[in-house]
Amino acid sequence: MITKELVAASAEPLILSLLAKGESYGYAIIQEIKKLSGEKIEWTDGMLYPVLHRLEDRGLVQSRWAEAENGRKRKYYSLKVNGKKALQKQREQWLTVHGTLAKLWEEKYV
Amino acid sequence: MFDLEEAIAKWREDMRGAGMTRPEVLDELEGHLREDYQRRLRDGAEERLAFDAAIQKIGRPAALQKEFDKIAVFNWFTFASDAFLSFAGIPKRRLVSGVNDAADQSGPGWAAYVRAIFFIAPTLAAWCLAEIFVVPQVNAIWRKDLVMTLGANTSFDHVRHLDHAISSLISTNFLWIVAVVALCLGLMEWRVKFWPRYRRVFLGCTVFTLNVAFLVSLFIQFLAAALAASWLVHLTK
Repeated sequence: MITKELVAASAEPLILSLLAKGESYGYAIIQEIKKLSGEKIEWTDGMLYPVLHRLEDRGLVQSRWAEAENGRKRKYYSLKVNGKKALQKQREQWLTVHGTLAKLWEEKYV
Repeated sequence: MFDLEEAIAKWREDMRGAGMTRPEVLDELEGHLREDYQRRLRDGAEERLAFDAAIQKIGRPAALQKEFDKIAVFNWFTFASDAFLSFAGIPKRRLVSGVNDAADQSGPGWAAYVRAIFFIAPTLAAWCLAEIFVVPQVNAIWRKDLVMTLGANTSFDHVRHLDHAISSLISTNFLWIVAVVALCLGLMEWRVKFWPRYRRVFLGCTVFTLNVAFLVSLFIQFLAAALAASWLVHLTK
């Protein structure tokens, strides 16, 4: 299981990356992340929404209410241009961290 | 028999009680709750257990509100009301006791009354002692002609006079006031269905307000005593 701190730190890039694939909504985002991480990234479901709202306030994502297949209204989120730029920056940072760790661990075990 | 709509209405009420009042946010969270509930039913869970598990997974109202607070725009009214509630001993925005909230530790009803009495007793005792021993002496010294002769601050004289009038009204009818308050609280306990949910916040805020009022009254009386004493010294010279 991933630690709480790392889950919190990775929430934004994970959401932005997922929305880069297309429009989605809260419950689907959580299920998708859970599936992709092999159930190792576990969010308290409600905590996703403040992050989504923060991203919306910062102009990185936009939302719209639409009718779901069950007839109830559902809020969908999609990435904005600024969101794509922010994702690119975050991607570079995470890849730098990942690359550095990979090199360090490679040296250690070679 | 489990009623989903009733359970959701109750959950929304708990969320509002924790300070999550924006309908749009509640609608969004409700949609999430319903989807999680349906998935659990499909997985074979019993209705009540599926709902309880879904609300647990979505998170405690207070914790959620805390997260939403982080993205909220600063508002003076919210700041002032939160400050008042904090001083009154009410955790931020926990205006009602949440039934579905596992972290709710408001305790039994009588505990709220014991706490209220415990917190108001010292200030009330100090105020009563001042009313018995200090105020009559100050009143004897603090005569209007003396005040005028020495050119004392007349606005303070008005404040002191108002404080004295209110204090006299309370002290002369103290037992009646206590009886009426006890009767009202008894009626609330007996007849009002929603009272247990608001008991703690009502008692907390009332005790805090009364404590502040008693302390202000004491401060005015002691300031008057200090001024009167200095004037007496001046007169004797």
